[in-house]
Amino acid sequence: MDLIKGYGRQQPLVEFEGFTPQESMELQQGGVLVGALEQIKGWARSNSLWPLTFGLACCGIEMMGTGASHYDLDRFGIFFRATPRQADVMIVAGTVTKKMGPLLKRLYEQMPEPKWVIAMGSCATAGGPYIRSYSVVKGVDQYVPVDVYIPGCPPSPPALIYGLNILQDKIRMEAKGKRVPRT
Amino acid sequence: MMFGLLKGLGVTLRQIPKKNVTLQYPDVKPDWPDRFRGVHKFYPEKCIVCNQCARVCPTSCISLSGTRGEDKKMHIETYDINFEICILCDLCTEVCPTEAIQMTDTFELAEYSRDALFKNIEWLAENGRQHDARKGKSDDQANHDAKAADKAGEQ
Repeated sequence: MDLIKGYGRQQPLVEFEGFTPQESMELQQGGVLVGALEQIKGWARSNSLWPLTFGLACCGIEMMGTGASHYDLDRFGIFFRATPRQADVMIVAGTVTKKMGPLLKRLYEQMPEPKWVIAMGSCATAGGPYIRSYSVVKGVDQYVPVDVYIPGCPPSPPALIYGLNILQDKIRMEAKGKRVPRT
Repeated sequence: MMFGLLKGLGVTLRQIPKKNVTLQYPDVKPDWPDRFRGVHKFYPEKCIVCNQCARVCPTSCISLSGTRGEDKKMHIETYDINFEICILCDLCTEVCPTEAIQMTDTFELAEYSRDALFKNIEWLAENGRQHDARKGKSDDQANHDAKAADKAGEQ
C-alpha cells in the first residue's frame, strides 16, 4: 500500500500492492481494502488519531484554534479527548516545567498502546525561549519518546496540521515495516 | 417550550446559506500576509559577517563564521540556525544591515528527529531561492538591488 503523493487528504489515496493506481482507486472507491492486516490497521489508526487535550501554554491556544471550525481537525478524523485512557496521541503543546514533568510521564503511561507523542512548539522541543531557565524541561524527549517535533513559537495551525499529517505518514510507513527515526 | 425549539432551529437554518469557513489546508495552501514570520531565508552573497544577528538573538540559536577575502571584505562561510529553539521573533531580520537574512512564509518544518531541525547555510539559501521563485521578486528586494546597482555605478 503505497501512498500516492500527498498525505492528509480527507480520504488518503492508497496504492495496493500488485494493482495499478487506477485499480487501487477503483477498489478504494468501492470500499475494498487489500493488504496485510498490519497495513490495514496502520491505515485505520492513522485516520482516527484521538489526541489528548494537553495545552500547557500559548501553543494550547493554537491547538484549540486548529480544532475549531476554521482549520477543523475533524476532517482528518482527529478528535480531542479529555482523558488519557481514550487517547492515541499526546500533543504536548507548551512549556513543560520540571514540576509538570512527572505528571506528563504519568499521563503518557495511562494512555493505551499504540501511542504517539507530538512535541508542539519550541518549548516542548528544546525549551525554546526558556532554554537557559532553571525550571523548564529542555525538551519533552527527556520524559517520553517523541515522534514528531513541530518548531515555531507557537506553530501556526497549518504547521500543526502538517505535523499531524507527517505523523499519519509515519504510522503508515511503520505498518509497512519501514523504520522511521525516533529519538 | 415550542418557541425555544424554533428559536434554536432558526439559528441553524440561518447558517445554511452562509459560505463555509474551513480552510482546506493540505490541498489549498494558506495565503499568508506579507509580514508573516516563517522560516528564514539567507543570501550568502549579501552577508558582511557583522555578527549582529547572532548577538541580538534572544535564544542564541544563530551561529556563523566568515573569513576576510582577497578584496578585504568579509565573506560568510558557515551560517547555522537551530530551529529547535528559534522562536521566529524577526529580530535578526531587523538588525541585518544588508537584508541578508529575511523571513519567508515557509512553515512546513515538522521533523521526526531533533537533529533535522538544525539548518545550515545551504538549506537556508535554498529556502530563499524557492521562496523567491514562489513570490517573484518582492518590491523592497528590487529596490535594494537597484540601490546596490547605483552604488556600483558611482564607484
